[in-house]
Amino acid sequence: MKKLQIGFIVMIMLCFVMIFSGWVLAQEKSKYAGQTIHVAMAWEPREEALKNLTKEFEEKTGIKVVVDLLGNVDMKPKMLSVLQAKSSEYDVVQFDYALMPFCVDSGWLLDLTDWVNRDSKEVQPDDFHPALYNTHIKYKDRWYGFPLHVNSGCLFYRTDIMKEMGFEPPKNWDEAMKDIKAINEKYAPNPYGISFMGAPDPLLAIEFQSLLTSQGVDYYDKKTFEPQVNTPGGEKALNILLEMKKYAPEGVTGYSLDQSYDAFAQGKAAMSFGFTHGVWFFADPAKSKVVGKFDVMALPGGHSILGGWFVAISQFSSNKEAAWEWVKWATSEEMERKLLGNMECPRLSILKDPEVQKKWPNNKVFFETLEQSPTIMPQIKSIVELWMKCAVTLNEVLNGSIEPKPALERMDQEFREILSRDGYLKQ
Amino acid sequence: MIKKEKLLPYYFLAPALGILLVLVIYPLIFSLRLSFSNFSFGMADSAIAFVGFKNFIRMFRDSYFLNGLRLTILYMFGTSLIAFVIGLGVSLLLQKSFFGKKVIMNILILPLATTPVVVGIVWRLLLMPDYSFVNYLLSLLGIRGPQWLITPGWALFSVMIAYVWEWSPFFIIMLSAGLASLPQEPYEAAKIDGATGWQTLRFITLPLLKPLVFLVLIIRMMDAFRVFDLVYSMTKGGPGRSTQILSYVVYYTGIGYLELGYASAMSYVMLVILVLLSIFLLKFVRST
Repeated sequence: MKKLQIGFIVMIMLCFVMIFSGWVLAQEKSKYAGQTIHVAMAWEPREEALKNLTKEFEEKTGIKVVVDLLGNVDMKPKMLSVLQAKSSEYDVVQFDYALMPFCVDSGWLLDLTDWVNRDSKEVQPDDFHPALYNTHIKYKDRWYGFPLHVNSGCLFYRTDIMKEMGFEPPKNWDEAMKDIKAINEKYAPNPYGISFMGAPDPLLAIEFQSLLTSQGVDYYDKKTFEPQVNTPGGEKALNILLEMKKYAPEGVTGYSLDQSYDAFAQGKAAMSFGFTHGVWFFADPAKSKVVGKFDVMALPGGHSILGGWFVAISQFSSNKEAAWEWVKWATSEEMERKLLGNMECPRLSILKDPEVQKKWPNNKVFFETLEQSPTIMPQIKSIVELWMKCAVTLNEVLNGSIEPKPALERMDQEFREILSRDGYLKQ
Repeated sequence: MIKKEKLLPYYFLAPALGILLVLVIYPLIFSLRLSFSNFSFGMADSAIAFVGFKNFIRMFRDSYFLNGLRLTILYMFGTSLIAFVIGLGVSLLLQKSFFGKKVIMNILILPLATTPVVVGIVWRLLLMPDYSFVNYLLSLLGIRGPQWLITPGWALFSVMIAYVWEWSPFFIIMLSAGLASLPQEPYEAAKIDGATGWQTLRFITLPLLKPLVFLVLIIRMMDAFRVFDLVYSMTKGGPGRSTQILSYVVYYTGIGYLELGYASAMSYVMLVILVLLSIFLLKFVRST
């Protein structure tokens, strides 16, 4: 009888504990429950997958999330207009990492340093690859962003053709150009040696920056902002680009990323200068004829360019804490694992995982790139102007409208004007 | 004391004027103010300063602006005149009665109903590098077509072709309506006098149509001067800067390069050119 009484009391106590825990959990859930946050992101497969998973977050926290996926072309002007107007339309925004200093200096992004320290167990700040700290995460040693969409420049190549030719993956650009030339001489036009982005848009300028850094120079010196394009290194980089054109499909000067990828996927090029996420495109039998016949490597000679976007909380958000909950959830290790099939991952614990490296070779190449001091895009306000002017001149060189030497002089002049005007280059 | 009846029209007009004020006049004044400032995205309010005519002076030293202006003028006259010649020719043919005329008229209207971006994409697909359908058709005739969209010279011409394709029907419809409403007496007199077809066109049809022709040309030239969508969807300003017409330069300066003050100044120069052009053409129409 006594045992029964004790059991009954224990049961009652357990019930109380359960009810109390439930109440505590309910309190936790309702802390921001009922709030609505607006998230603006690029309309890309990874962001779309994240949007589809957001229901889980809503159920867990009671926070309603409205995700706007914006086309690449529309996103930047929309974000800039919203933030310039100090509007609270979006709580979470996404930007190209090149624009982080500009956005922070404009006073648009919330400093997350204290919250990251407070919630470090959830955030696991040390798990992000250190190479991403000065690009996607921190500015002036304060924490503003979280890498949500990362990738790097790379070279895709046809394994069957390389095997037939007896070639190993090239170690530097000299070796790569020899291989490309030999393949082109033997096979062109089916396939040509290489496809790349030759259209006058920023991707051509980004490609050129990788070639510059492979020759030991950059657009400009990162400390003095003195342009470095009109130097022997710049000349060599431009010559590599011009030589690549000789071994590329005829229309390459009109190729942006899609056309360049199409050329490789349709078997019209034996190599392709691209970004790591191209793996998904080439491995898709609905889009590609080279499934199982290609591999990916970091750019010859290292220094592949680091790409990608970060998410941040708008300074003008009226639901900052709720937005912070979403950012933590969206960039957590758990979420990164769920999103592995969509893009490269910024977290060390996942990048180092041999199974991940084996299953997702793009992550292996991305990890290698991060480990070998990647090329960083210019983090200046006028980045788009610098890219566009550089790309227009490069495209003119590829079209034969201007000779390489005057082209380098023009780029040098235009870079000087931009960097001086924005106060980076001191005369 | 103003009578109530006299004020009544103003009461009715007030809502429309209010909307016009907010949606048209305010942005115009705001952008005029911007054009005299150093404003760019990200700038703190306190840093925005009046810079006088600095933006306007800079513009006339800017090779991108000057190149854009040259291309835009070329594009405006080129497309309007070609579309006019095609429009006049087809509308003259359509004055005759023949089987299937109505069907042809309906088909001719289709390009007008198509969104310019869609027109641009379709023409881009027809002329795209390496996979051009037009070049395939030319190859059947033994002709090797050019790389339309990536060869300097051909690229602007390609965008012009797309524009002419889209807007020639506008000339056809307007000129057909104009031709149908012309008085028949001068034609009968010309016939009796033994005038040839060319003489009838040169001395009767064109002079009678002149006011309508100029009106239609003004409308189309103003539109061609502001073209953006076709260029953006077909060439994105390339190759090099050979299709960077003025509105494309303004767009990139404002949205890409974030320099809204300078881009506003460019827009105002565009507006002034357009206003001057239309005043000149309207005066010409009135004088004739």
